[in-house]
Amino acid sequence: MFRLASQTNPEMHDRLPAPPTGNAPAPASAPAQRRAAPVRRLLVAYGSLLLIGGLGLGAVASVVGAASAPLGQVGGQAVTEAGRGANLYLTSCAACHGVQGAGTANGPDIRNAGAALTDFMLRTGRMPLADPGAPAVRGTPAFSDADRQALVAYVASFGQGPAIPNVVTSGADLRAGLELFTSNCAACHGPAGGGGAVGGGFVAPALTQADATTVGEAVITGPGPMPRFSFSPDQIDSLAAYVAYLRNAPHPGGATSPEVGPVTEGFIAGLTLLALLLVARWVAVRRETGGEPLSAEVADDSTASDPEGGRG
Amino acid sequence: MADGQQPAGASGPGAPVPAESNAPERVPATESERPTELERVVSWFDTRLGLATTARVAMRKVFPDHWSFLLGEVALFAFVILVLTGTYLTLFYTPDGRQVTYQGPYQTLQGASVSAAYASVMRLSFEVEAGLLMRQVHHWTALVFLGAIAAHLARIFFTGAFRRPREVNYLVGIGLLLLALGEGITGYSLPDDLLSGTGLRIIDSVILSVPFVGPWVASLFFGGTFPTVGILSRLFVFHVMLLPGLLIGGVTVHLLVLWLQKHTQYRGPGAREGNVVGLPFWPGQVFRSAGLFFLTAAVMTLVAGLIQINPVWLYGPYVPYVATVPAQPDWYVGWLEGALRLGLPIEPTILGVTIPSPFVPGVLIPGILVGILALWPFLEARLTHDRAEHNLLDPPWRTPIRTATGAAGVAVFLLLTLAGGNDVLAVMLDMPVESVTMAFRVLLIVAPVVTWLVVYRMARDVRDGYERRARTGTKPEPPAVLLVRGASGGFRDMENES
Repeated sequence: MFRLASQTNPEMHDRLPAPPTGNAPAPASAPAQRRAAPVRRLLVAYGSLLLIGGLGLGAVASVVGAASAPLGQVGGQAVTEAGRGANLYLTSCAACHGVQGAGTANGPDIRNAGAALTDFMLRTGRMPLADPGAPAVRGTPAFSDADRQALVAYVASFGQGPAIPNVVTSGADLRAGLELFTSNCAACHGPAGGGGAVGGGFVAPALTQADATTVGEAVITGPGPMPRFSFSPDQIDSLAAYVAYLRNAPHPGGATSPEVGPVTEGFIAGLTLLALLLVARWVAVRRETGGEPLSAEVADDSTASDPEGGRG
Repeated sequence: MADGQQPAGASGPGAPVPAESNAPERVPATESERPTELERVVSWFDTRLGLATTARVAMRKVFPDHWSFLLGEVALFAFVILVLTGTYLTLFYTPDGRQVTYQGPYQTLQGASVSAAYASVMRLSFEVEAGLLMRQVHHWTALVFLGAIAAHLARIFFTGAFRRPREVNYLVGIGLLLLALGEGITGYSLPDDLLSGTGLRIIDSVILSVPFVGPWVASLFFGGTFPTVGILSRLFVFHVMLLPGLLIGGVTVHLLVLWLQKHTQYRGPGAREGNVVGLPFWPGQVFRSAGLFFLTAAVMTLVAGLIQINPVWLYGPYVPYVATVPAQPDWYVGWLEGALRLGLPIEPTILGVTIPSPFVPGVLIPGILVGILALWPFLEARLTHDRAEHNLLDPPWRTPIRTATGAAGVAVFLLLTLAGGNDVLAVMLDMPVESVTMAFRVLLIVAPVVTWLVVYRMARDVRDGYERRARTGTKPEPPAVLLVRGASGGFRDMENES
């Protein structure tokens, strides 16, 4: 039902169920693949063999791999897209999510995560985690676009999950986006997308870096504690357009931050008051302590205990 | 006119001078001392109103030098700025909760269903000349106004300026503080954006939680069950008429009593219980005060011109089932918000009456805290048996118990205010919000006690040091201890040996 993102080759999905060791013809994105760094290829080859073949075999094969650096095992030819995805998966994901995404004690079952959630996690650098206990927060993406696409396609082949939505923000209805955002998103992500705490140790992240596809993926998959929303493609377009608008929204009132709100304003007001106290200090009379006050500036004034005197 | 008649420092008649006594001033002038135009105008008014004596006394009013006496003036000037900018805002604001379709230049909202009040704030912000600047000056100044009042109150409290004979004016000041809080809360609610509506909903819940009378009071205040269309016009009348009227009246009483009782002053050269040392209003203080006013206005305009506040166009119009984060009140209500957030989710039933959970943190505890603050002059007099008049101020270290109690109160207030932003702090500290809340609950019990003990000890030590030196006639200790290291490697204190 969702339009597929332009980054993903639609034909790829048809071929995806092919086993990782398949000998399918090289996909259209082969040139991009050839650009991959030799080091990564090495690592991939090493890791995959380690996992597949067991320790002893891997130790031997890694020597072979280091010597000739072919990806895959057959005759040094270019490996398939699906095979690359499988290799990447086994290297970076399988330790926690298990073979074929079935999950382990360290990571959840992702067989029905689908392309959308997988792409969301990889695109925003949330996965792979440094260690299983680390929080899944936005970081530098670990994979190149080509690697990510291969990985996403492979994970999507495990089961039935939503595809990557094709979010088009140009010409979207901003007002609908604002209404959707304030009704559904601002309660956790804040009115300007600055993020906030949502309880249970979870944080609704700031949306300042979320591109349109990321917004769409999050909305339809509900990553982490976020709920899943069944919005129409048009609504997702509006929402993503409004999030993009927030990023570049004009601020007619002057300087501001995405974490807009009375807490920030209170701190600034405190600093302003401090400035005014310094002004008052500067305005006030300062005399040398200890010395007699300048007689010209002194007036004696009676007080309540001496009500009748000195009022002239 | 008046100045020449009585040289400065001469003691004049205490009672208002009858008009007849001014007769010598109207003796036809000789050719050489013909009255100037100004003198003739002043004389014209004086012969009809007889205010010359009062004005002369007022001009002689002496203001102490110390800068902390200007805190109240900063608050007063902030209030003047609020009245001026608020008047401008009132010209364009519509206190109407009925729904209209927004058609203004803010394209993102075009065609949205908003209240007429929200639409008028949007028009004020985007279409009215200088409207947004006025709104921002008004809002920033409101935040600073309450801060200046708090700073002024702290000066009064920690120096003992509230003691006899000034207990009444202290109570007037507490009343002004509460009125200012009321102004802040009603003003926060007027734009009818998502945050202000959320605030009103909380106020509604707190009122509802009062046993027996809550639902009736809430219904009376809101004109029905929340949300009501009519609430905005009620808040508007409170914000622009009733509360400002009371504030202006209260400020007048505050200043009049100050003038009658005269200023307190710090101990210093020439300062006695029976006098005030400082600058007379004319020709001294008036220039400093005027300068302070314009500088206050300048700082507020600068901040308001550079930093955006309360962007209602981002919050969107209030819809009762919608919420946003971070949802906080303005800082001065933060302590009430914090008390609600730290309140325990328990609703005991006592003698068949269920106490709703907002009652204890939202009504009872704030009531007790404000009560202690308001009654402090009387509590202290009862504790110390000191019922004498005091016009000389105490430095805080002279009164360890008062200073420690005040510091503990400040600690409570700060903790509650910070707790009002527990979700923002949780993100900043990278902690679960529940842990932050629990930490605040513990701190709220521990911190006031620790603060009290530490401040008490510090103040007492300083006081004892001064008293010992006064008794023995020694000079103030040098800021460092002189140590000499001997041949054996040990240290000796030079001061105590000599």
